[in-house]
Amino acid sequence: MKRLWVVLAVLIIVSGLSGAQGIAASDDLDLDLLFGGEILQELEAVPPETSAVEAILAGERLGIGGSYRLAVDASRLWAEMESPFPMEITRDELRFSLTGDIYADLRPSPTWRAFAKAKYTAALGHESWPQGKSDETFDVSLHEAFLDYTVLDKLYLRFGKQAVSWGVGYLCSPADVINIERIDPLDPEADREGPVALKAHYPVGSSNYYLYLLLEDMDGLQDIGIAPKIEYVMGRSELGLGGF
Amino acid sequence: MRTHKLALVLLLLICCWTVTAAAKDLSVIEAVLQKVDEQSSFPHTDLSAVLTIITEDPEAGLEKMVVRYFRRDDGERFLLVVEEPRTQRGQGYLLEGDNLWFYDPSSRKFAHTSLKESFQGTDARNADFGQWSYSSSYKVVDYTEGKLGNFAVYIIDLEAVDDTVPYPYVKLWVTKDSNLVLRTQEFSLNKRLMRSGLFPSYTRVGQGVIPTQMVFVDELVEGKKTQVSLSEISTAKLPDNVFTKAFLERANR
Repeated sequence: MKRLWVVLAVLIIVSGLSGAQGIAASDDLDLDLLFGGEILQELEAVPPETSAVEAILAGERLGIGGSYRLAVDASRLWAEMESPFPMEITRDELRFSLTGDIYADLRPSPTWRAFAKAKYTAALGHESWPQGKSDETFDVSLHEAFLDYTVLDKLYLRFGKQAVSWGVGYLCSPADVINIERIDPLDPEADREGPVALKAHYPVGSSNYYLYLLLEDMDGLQDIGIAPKIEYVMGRSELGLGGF
Repeated sequence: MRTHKLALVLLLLICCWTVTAAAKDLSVIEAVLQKVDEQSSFPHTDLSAVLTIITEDPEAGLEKMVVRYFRRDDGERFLLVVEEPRTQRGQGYLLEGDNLWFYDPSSRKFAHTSLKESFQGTDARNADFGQWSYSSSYKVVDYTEGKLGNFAVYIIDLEAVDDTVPYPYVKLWVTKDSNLVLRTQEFSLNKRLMRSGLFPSYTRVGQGVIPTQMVFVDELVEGKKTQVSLSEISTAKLPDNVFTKAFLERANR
C-alpha cells in the first residue's frame, strides 16, 4: 500500500513538472529570427486624413446593410389506420422561409445621425393532406427609426422608435416596462421592439443620467410617460436606479 | 551508516541551493518590473490606433478582425469598437478603472465583463489592451539571465499576489538594456502552461512604449494562435466623450 502511495506521488510530481517545463508551442517559432533586429521604433508622425473619432462617427456617410436567414423544411408523414376504417395517409409538406432585417444609417456629420431598421418575414409552403394547398405570407415591420443629435458633445438626444436598455435580467426582466416586446426566453439576445420616445443621455464621469419621454399610444400630452434612470459606479459595481 | 551519509550529503546540497537562491538580489528585478510597468503607461498622452487581429484556429480556420482602439491612461480608460467583420460591427468594450463593459448593438445593452476574459474568442485577453501591472500584481519568485535572439534578457518568474490578473504564474523575458518584455509564458494554478506571448515590435508613445506586434499562442490547442498588429497610431488628443457609453451607442450600426 505504501509503495502504491509512493508511485502515485511520483506520478503527480512528474506530471506537474512536464506541464510546467514541457515544450511550448511557441518554441516552434523561430525566436532568433523574430528577435534578431531592432524592435523599438519611433512613432511616425503622419497626420491622418480624418481623425479616428470622425472615422468612427462619420467615416461612412451612408451605410446600408442587413441580415437574412433562409430555411427549407421538408417532411413526409406516413400512417396506417385501422379505425374507424382502414386507411393509409401520406402527408408531404415543403416550406421555404426567409427572415431578416435591413437597415439604413445616415451620418452627415459626427453630430447628426439618422437610422432606420425594418424586419421582414416571407414564407412559402405546400402541404398535400388533408387537401393539397399552398400558402404564402410576407410581412415587413419597422423595428427602429430614430434621429440622433449631440449637444455640445455633452448631451445625447435620440428621438424616434428605439430599443431601450432597461433592466438587467437575461431571460426575464420584470423591471423592463418600457420596451414593447418582452424577452423571449428561447432567444434572449434577440432584438426587441422598443417604443417611440425621446431619450436624453447625460454622462458625467463614470455615471450616466437618462431621461425618457415615452410617446407611445398617446391621445394627448397627458399620456406622455416619463422614465428617468441613473447609473452610478461604486468600486467594481454599478448601481442602476430607474423610475416610470 | 552509508544511508545516513548519503542523506547528509543530500541535505547539504539542498541547503547550498537554498542559500544560493536566497542570495539573489530580487530588488534589481523588482526595479526592472517597475520600469516595465511605467513604460507601458503614458498618462499624459492619448492614443488611438487600428488593431488588426488575425486568429488561426485549426477548427475554425483563419479569421480577421479590425478594431478601432482608443486609450487614455489618465483614469485607466480604453475603448474598443469592432469594425470588421461586419456581422460584429459596433460591438465594443469600455474600460474605466476597474470596470469593463461590453456593448452589444443588437440588444443595445451594456454588460459588465472582466479584463481576464478572452477578447472576442481570440487568444488575446481584454487585459492585453491596457497598461501592465506586473510590479503591483505579482511578486518576483526567481530569475535567471539569458539571451533571446540578439537581446540579453532577464528571465523572470512571477507569482500573482492578487486575483485581478488572468494567470497566477508568469514567466517574462525582459531586455536588460531597455526593459522591454519580449516574451511571456502564463501558467495556471497547477503550473500548466496556458498561453505564450511574443512581442517582437514596439513603438514609442510619449514617455512610454506600446507593442505594435503581439502574438499569443494557445498552448492547450495545438496550432491555435492570434496575432495583433497596431497601425494608424496617433497620439492626438481625444475628446473626453470618447470614453463614454454614449460614444459606443453612437458608433454602432
